[in-house]
Amino acid sequence: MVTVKLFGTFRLDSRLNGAIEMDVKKVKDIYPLIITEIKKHDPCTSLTEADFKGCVVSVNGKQVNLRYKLNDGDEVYLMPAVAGG
Amino acid sequence: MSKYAGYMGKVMQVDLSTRSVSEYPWSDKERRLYLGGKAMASKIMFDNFTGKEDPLGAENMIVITTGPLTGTGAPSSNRFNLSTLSPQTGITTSSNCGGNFGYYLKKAGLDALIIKGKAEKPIWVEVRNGTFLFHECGKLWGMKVAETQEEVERRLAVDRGCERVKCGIVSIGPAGENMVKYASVISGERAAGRAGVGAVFGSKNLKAVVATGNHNIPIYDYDRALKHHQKWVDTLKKHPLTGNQLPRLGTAGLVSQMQMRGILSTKNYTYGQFDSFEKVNGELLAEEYNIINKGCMSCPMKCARTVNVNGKEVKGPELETLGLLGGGIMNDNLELILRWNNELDELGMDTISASSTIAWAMEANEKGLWKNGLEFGKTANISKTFDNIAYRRGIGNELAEGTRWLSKKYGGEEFAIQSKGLELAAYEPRRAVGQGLGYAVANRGGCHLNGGYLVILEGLGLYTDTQTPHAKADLCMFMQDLMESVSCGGQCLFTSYAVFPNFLISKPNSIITKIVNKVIPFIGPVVRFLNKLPKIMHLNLPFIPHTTELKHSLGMKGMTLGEFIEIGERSYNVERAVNAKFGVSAAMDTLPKRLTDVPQDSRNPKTKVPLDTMKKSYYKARGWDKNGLPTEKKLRRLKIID
Repeated sequence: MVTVKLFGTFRLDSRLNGAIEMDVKKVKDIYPLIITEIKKHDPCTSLTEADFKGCVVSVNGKQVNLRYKLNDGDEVYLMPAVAGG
Repeated sequence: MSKYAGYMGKVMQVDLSTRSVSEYPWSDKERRLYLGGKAMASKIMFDNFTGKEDPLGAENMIVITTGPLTGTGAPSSNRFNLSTLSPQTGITTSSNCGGNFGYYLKKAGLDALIIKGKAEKPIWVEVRNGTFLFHECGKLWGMKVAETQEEVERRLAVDRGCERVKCGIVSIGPAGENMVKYASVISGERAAGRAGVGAVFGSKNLKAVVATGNHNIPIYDYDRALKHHQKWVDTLKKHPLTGNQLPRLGTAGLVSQMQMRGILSTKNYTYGQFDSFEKVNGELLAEEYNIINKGCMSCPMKCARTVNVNGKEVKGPELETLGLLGGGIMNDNLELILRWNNELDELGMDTISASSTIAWAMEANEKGLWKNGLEFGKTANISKTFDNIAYRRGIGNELAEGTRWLSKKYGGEEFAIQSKGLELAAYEPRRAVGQGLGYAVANRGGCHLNGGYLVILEGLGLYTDTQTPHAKADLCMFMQDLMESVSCGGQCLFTSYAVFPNFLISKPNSIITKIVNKVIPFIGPVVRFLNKLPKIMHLNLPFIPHTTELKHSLGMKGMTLGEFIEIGERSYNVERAVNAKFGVSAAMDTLPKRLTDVPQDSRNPKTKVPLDTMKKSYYKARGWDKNGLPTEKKLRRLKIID
């Protein structure tokens, strides 16, 4: 099991501000499941799998790519790739 | 008068010692060369400073400039600039500020205001339709910022016998009065925060400047300008950065992004990640505390947050404050940061330098260099410490001098996170080395924006190699010049973020974006070539609408991208030339050893800033000499000298 957390506008759009537990092996496996999870809270969500495919992924504090293999207990952060300050 | 629209055609100078007012000559030729804002202020300082002035002496001057686009309705264009000789760094500083003061200064009939001398007693100055009125402060001196501004507005209303007078105000708080080296000037809720401009106000016994008036701000081609504004606003609203991220999360949205990138300053820059970042990030601020988004006049982004502190709606913290008063001092209580942010604004103190100075003092205490009672993670005495700094009481009197001064006295220079005396913002540069170069070479000292904000290419937008020095010098120069140009027109730097195509920002995993990120470290020679021959860029690009804006709103015919970028280059060089008079050279373009010699990740020796390599490239790219100074030939080519 891994823990997934959303940040940035993903979190505001999904209203999911807690951690979600998932049984997945790779980062890319998270995307369909995260949409299902979001739809449980908000069936009309505008977020799609495509939005997440273009996001920044960090596992245990390190940025990784979509093919990254996950291990039990990993903490995965997803956020849109935009910033500025 | 000016042949260009957008300008009021008048620059006034006032001597507070004699209360005399005169017009300062500023020609259309200079308007075309410098536009306005910081570039204009730097040229005025270049022409007037000898290098012997004391920042807190009567001979120092405060130059408040507007941009020609201010008041024209161009998006995010109502910023003003405040330049002076900094008491914190001993060199020039410029603080750029939003709000409405720039607009009202132009309504009063002025493009810029130069303040010299020193008033005999504390005063505030009113500029009413070009006429100057000098008012005794009385009880105003000693008041905090919000109370000062309310009282000034009340006095204006009483004087004119009406309920409320529309005006723009800049004022200082107790920190400015007591000449804290990093005291700020506040306009409404916005701050001209950095490098002690408030202390210079205080040294002149100047509590506030108020501008009112009913002059019309001319626009060259109203219909075309209006259409262009509408199109530009649409572009900004559709861009993922300016239309989504900034309005919804403000700059505070960067905390999480920086955490993931390892560039969130933590424990006085010891680390780049803060374990408790979720308790002090922009998401929590937006969900739990933000009441309403606010923005400057004519800005569609509305990036400012509003929060409740002690029953009052006040401005929320920006990223820098969240980072430095959060992980910077190992505090995970967001409510405290909201309160401290307000306290610092009310006292009139730069949140960046104040927090960084406290973080340095905590580390000095931990290492036994200076027993001062401040400890990482201990929050109970922070508010009191802010007060002590503003009123220069106890240890506050020394903290008021900033980290450079303190580390010279007590030791610990290697962890005094400053450059040229100015404390760095919250971006930890060991994992964004181009940003590190920017901090070191920035004209006003360790400033993230004046440094070129290369971090936007190194993880906060694009994802180019964060550790390579390749092309960082050239890109740093290009970004500095671009942002200078944008700023000189009076516009917010955020309008320059929209020049990055949407897909590059929103689709970081696409093949095109990946190619762009890979190619960026190799484009240095191209950037350098274009910089040497700006006339090659004899064109206007749709994704850089600033040049078209200058044509429609101001009537600056023939304005091209090349000329526009050259204005920024001129601005940067003239500011460097002023600094050269005050002893700036390559030896002062430094970073603390913690950032250049100690890897952030002990297992990866690359995670430090290779400053010396990048600095040499930077001076070469700029066409400066080995000592890091613009040559006479360079100044002549840029028409800074005849």
